[in-house]
Amino acid sequence: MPLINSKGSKANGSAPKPADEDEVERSVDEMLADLASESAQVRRGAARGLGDHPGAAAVLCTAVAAEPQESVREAIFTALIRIGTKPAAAGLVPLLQSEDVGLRNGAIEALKTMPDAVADWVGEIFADCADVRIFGVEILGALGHPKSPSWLIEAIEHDPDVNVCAAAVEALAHCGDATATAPLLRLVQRFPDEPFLAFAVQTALSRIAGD
Amino acid sequence: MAVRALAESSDGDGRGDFEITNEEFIKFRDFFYAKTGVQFAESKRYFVDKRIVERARDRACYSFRQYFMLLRTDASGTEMQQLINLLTVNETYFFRENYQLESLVRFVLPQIAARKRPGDTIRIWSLPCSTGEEPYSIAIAVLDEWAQSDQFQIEILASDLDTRVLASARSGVYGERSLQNVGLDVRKRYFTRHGLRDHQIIPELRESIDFFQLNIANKAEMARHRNVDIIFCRNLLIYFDDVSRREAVASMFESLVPGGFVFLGHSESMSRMSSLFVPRRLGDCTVSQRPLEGK
Repeated sequence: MPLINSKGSKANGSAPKPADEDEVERSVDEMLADLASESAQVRRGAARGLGDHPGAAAVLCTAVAAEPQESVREAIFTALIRIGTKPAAAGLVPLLQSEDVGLRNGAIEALKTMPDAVADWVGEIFADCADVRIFGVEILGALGHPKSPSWLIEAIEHDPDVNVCAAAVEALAHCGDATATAPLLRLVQRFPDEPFLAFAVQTALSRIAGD
Repeated sequence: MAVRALAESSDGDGRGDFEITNEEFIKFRDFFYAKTGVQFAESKRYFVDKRIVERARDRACYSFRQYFMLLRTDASGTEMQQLINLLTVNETYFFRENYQLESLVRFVLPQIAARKRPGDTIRIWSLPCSTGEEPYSIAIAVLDEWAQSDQFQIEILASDLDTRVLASARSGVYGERSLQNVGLDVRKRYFTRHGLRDHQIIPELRESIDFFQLNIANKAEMARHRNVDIIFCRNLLIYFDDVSRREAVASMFESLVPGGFVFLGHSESMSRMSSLFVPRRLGDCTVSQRPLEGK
């Protein structure tokens, strides 16, 4: 039988063993320095460790914007999600304007997990360009914040861009309730020449009604 | 007839205790079948209703309609996955989702072997291993179905958080329910009779698998396991919240060699959790691969 058990063959084993040099706990300063390492593995390790240190949020946000390796970016975004504080959200919101799709999407996914931290930035997001407002609507739809439906209703009542409104309608289909019904109907009147919007509204109303 | 499925109200006002009508059950059964391919027989009705009501209560839904809407509109798919596992939990048995084991021996192991020399170790990790059916099934599949197995040292690691299931796995004693997919030939070669009804894995196979306790959410524990070629992590991550899931996936990424593979459960999707891995269609299933060049 070619099966081996590491306990009977320690040299080949990977079962629990004493911590080696990779596992020695690093100080915050060392991990911050490791973020600039040439090794992607070291940078990933630093990012994972810094997720336990909320004070590193701003540095992590700066690092992720400059990070070329996707695997390291993901480790940094995960660290920022774990931190989840207002400074973390503050560093992520500007990334919504990035031309780098991976960076932007990472920021969107991270912000979706930070309801309390994102709440402070809703005004800023909706004062930005239409593209950023669309990302903002997507975030709000998944945010799970008690005020998300009312923020989305605010968008469909007042946002001048039909694409932002359409995205908000889709988000309301997932998280809206009966209070969205009248604003959704008014939205159709606001954009009478956009048949796709009327269809989206109808779909949202059906979902909200539980059909 | 409406089957009454009780979920005790936590606030004493009757909320959380509702009935699922026949019409609602059929609606749910058809929806679930469309999503998973699993069809519940009428005999499972009480079990299914009870689980739905319990889950609805946990999500603060107090009617079938309310919960079913949540289930259908949850864009992340997390709720569906949670329910799938509630409705399939404790259904582990030998050669479960056997198409994955076929993919392992027909496609994955040959690719791993192509990067190694004869005599090298190929390390496969069952995480979590529960009561042992999975790692033993992997071992039997490799021994019986992979012609190159004699050219390598195959190391099978099996870990779980729960020490009780680990003890059960080490003992290797199984009833007929676990053995439903095990043919007579395999039973003769890898099992012995144990008592009147049960069967026990032969000592040689039991002793060749390394069972140990491990918490996948503990980064330090996970960091002790490196150079793994293949991880089976089926129907576990759905129990985790988003950040814990991302961290667990990151830990697996670090444990794997570049080019290593992860098998997830049939209802799980790596692309929803992480962009670290590359999806590979190998046989009848999609396997997640750590990029060779450490992208």
